[in-house]
Amino acid sequence: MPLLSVLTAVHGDRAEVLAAAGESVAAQELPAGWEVEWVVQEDGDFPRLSGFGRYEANGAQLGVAVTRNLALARVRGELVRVLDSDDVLLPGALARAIEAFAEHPEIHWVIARPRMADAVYFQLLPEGVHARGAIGSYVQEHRRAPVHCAGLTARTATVRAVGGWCANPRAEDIELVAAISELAPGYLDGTPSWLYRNHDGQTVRQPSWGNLHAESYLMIHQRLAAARALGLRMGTN
Amino acid sequence: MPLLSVLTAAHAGRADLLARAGESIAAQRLPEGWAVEWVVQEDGPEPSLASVVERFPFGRHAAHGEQLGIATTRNLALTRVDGELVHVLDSDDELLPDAVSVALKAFADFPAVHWVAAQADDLLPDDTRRSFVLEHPAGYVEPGRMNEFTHDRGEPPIHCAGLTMRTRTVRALGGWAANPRSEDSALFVALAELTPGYVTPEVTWLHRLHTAQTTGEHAWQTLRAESMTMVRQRLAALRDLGLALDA
Repeated sequence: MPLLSVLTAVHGDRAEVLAAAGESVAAQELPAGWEVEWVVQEDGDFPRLSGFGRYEANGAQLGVAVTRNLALARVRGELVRVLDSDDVLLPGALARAIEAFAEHPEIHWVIARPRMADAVYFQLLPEGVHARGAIGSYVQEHRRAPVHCAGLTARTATVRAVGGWCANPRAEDIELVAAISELAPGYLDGTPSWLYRNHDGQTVRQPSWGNLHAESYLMIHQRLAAARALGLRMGTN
Repeated sequence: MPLLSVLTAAHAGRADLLARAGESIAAQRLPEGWAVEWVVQEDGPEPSLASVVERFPFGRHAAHGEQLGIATTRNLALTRVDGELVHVLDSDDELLPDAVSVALKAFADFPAVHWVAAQADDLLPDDTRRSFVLEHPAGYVEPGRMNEFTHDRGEPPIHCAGLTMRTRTVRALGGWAANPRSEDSALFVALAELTPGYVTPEVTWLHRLHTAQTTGEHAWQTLRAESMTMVRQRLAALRDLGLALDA
């Protein structure tokens, strides 16, 4: 039976919101024949969230990219859906992604649009299938992601092939999405299907978050330029 | 003038060893026409290594002012690399005088290769050297050839800390991976799968063994199995998707 893995990286002070995230996974209705697992990986020296989903702890502070990659190593599904610990899936979120893969067999990734407390999050490219390279070209031109990368569902093998979330200080997920979209087309879903929470404890609101953005985007830019110059591509097998 | 960049991630506390690494670059006998730069990226909240690096005319130091770990630190260094080739040098290791010229000769003799792996002797705490024999023969290596070993053992049969690589190829593969213990193996498994390489017969660098070395710490032994799983899964996925380069 096909399996979709929801992947959540978390740190110890997030127990309450993590429970809400888990409830939102439990409430998902899936297309006939599909199953879901929830793979939770806790970052930090003093783990305390055991009991949520298929849980493991790093036992050390390793950062979000390594933590997500350790979760990815335990994923059993052919599809993997990211769910940040402070976000929530809306009803139908997983079914929408699975249906997009069924309707467009050529795609390797789907990105779902979030709803915020009082607004719908921007999505700067139109809904629909986007060819190889579309995300990367947008990031290169505008130095920002045209989508919210925390709404990613992707083929697990494709994420693993490019090395998973990147050792990039501020854009580990944008670099991943840019890298997989260089290899294969994907689908942008314009209907909000998850809730993005703004709160004071967010990583993106920490004082140091504003640093290293230029370097992080330069890293992506150099990766895309190099991949294109070398003709990095998927084979026909 | 063609340029080779030596890339070093460092953290405060390594000042003495870093100076020795720098001296070992200064002592390189370069082939005519080649220049070398030393791109050092300092990890950690209280950077202190600028003066060590900048005493060398070829040294370029930068610090990011927070603790990000070795993979991200190397990737930040990689964004600053100007050379078409990049030679890794860990902050506690040393090059022998022909390290760069041996690597450059391999790239010249085998124009198809994207990487050159070099042999190292272990450097013991009393500064004596001990031979270390790689579990792979020297010579040209076809794409994918080395990864049978990597698949079986979970790590490659060469020292990733002595690699010289085409800068562009490293960037295309995402640089060092966000992998807790095998950030370099996770890069190299992709490099060795997609491109040919070369293993030098010559010993060209010294790999320092000492008590404060990261890989000797007890905590480093945790997450080893998971890190190797990530390397194997990347390899399986590369093969599954048939990832390839045109050039």
